[in-house]
Amino acid sequence: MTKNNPLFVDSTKLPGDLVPCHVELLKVCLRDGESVSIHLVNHEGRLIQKPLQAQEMEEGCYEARLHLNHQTQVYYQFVIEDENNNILFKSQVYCERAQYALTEQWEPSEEDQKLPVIDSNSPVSTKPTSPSGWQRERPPSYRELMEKWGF
Amino acid sequence: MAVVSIINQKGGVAKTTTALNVAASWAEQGKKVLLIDLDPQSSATKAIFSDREFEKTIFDVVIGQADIQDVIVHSEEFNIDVIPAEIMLSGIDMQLAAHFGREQILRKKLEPIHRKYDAILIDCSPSLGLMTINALLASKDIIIPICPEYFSMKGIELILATLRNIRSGLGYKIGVRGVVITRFRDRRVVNEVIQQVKERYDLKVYRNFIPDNIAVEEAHHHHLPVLKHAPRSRAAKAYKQLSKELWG
Ligand SMILES: Nc1ncnc2c1ncn2[C@@H]1O[C@H](COP(=O)(O)OP(=O)(O)OP(=O)(O)O)[C@@H](O)[C@H]1O
Ligand SMILES: [Mg+2]
Repeated sequence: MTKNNPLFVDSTKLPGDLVPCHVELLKVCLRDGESVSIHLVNHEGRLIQKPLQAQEMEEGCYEARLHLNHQTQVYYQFVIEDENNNILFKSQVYCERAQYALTEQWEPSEEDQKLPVIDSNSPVSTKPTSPSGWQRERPPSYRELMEKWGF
Repeated sequence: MAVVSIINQKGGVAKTTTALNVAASWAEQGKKVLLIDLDPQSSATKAIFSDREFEKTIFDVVIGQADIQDVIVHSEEFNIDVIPAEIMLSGIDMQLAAHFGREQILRKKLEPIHRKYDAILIDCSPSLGLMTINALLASKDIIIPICPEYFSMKGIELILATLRNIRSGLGYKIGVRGVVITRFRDRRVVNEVIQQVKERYDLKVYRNFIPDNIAVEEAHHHHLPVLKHAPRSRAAKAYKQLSKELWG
């Protein structure tokens, strides 16, 4: 996960606000009958699966739109399946803060990386997880951000 | 044509010179142009107005102490409208730290005056701060001047990374209109640089390069666009051609 520069954080949103997130996977080459989708575990541990659609303007680019909670931690991977929904390839598992765009280049993973397992019996936390430790009820002050990120 | 930022985090690559001379060339071609100086160094403001003091500048607009219409000044010599800058801009990141929507202030302030102009050019400072982010969010796309003699791939990578971060963090997609070659001396060096920029980054490079030419410095000292100060100079001709190419 990359560091978060406060210059690139939307000051009109609080951590946890729903924002539209544009998912983009580049350099994908599918054969007949194959499809690609994103499997994403959100901050509440909920699994979201969404097929990606081919973008008309750019060859090899597949996209989808999700609604995610701003600045919360998400885990995701891309999965290619055949027409019978058999999984053919999986990417690595990525971990990011949810923002307006998630862009990756397709690369199948050699090892079978799994998204964090969610124990369905345990109560699901409704609070956004705090990957960097700075998310809190109020937005952080500039001084805090400067101290945190060394501006 | 919409709002365009002239940007490169590398200093001294002729951002201000390009903004001034392209603005003046467009004006000469009959376009109504607004140039916004967004650099605390105020190089564009000084190049146009010398040491003239302004009571209100872009700083006052951004902090909400002045209406944008009231800070626009006209330059007869350049035949453009200008929003001047001042050194106070250097502390603005601190001042606006807790401001809701701090990254979109300029974009919002420009909305009411958009339709008055054929083009709005923003001259950015070489540092990446809140004002540069404001310029980018107010712009449809950007022009990147590069100096082939001390060109670095790092500079271009930094700009492209900034655009990617804006896309993911702030939700705005800003394009690169193209790269302008400035202050060139040696064609061979230019060709090498162009090849690298095109191959590695797939960016458009404008065909009209600006040569290193003494007339540019002289025009600065006389507070004139180069095409007025020395219309026959190579730089004046190049900027004139470039401005047509940029418009097309
Ligand atoms: N084509 C040219 N020929 C000769 N000198 C030039 C040319 N273009 C720019 N210069 C000179 O180079 C210097 C830097 O130019 P300029 O101020 O436009 O760069 P800049 O990118 O705006 O710098 P900064 O990053 O400090 O804002 C100035 O002294 C300017 O007069
Ligand atoms: Mg400058």
